[in-house]
Amino acid sequence: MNDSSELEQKIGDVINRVLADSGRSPKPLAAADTLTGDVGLDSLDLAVMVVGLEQALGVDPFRQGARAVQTFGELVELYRNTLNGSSS
Amino acid sequence: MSQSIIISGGSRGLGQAVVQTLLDDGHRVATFSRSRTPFVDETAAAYEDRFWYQQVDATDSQALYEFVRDTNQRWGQVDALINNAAVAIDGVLALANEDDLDQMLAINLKAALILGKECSRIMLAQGHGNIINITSIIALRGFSGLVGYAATKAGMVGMTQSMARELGGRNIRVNAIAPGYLETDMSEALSEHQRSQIIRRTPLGRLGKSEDVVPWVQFLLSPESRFATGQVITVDGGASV
Repeated sequence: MNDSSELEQKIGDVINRVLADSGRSPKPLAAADTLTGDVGLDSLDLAVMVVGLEQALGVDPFRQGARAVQTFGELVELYRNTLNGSSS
Repeated sequence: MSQSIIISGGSRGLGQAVVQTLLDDGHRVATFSRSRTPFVDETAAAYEDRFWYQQVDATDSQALYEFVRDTNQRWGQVDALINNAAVAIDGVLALANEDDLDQMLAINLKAALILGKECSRIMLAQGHGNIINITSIIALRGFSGLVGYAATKAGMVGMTQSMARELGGRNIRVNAIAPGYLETDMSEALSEHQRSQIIRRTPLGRLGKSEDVVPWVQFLLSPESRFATGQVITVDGGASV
């Protein structure tokens, strides 16, 4: 997957599904949005998100040793790098 | 209602009895152990659609991850995890072999944590789950000659209570069962003196049997136990009172 906006869209969809599943409203996501602050995910939401991303994208960078990221943009970057690494 | 249940170490002893009962109750049961037993072969033939067995070394975290992933792919969900696999290597701590301590920590505690991690990820995503950790009365009361084993089982108690706090809000319950000494392969190593000492101290006057413990597993898996989490249920014939 090389299309940056497509990856951003898929990750955004997973995050919004996590929000919707717990009765919260989906929201547009900006690169600078912090996941726990602006987006409002708690630590268990983040775990659900990572499982959802593994299902959607086939990779889990955290299983491969990645450390936690703060913003939506950093998250997209992490998955982009992981996908590029796993396809090379 | 039929559940999809993972149990570690279901090829012999208490694990075998739990597997058989859960299959009799209509559940789907996935289990693994280091080596196959005649029970595994017979059960695989009798319940080929509801019983899944793999030979897995519990000290191999990647293999544990793959076992949980494959179970989830096979049955679409993991309703319950039973952390049962354990080894007990006895001897006074002063003379303990470090490899033996590592082995007990890896199989009894780390594998339970890894399985808890992998299963809780699935349970969080599906919105429900139930985890039962088989600890031991030795974790709570101690036993001379089993310091390493007691440490791993006490670790499971801490794991049970902390996971219960962490996951309760997401409809995932975590409890533990602490059997006393059971008449299983693991207690064959007891000397006659140790055996009679345990029986003498047990108000109900005998060692436990797997079938004394299995109903508690059934209860914790049932909706009737829905308001219990973070609990350690002692099933030891009263030996610890």
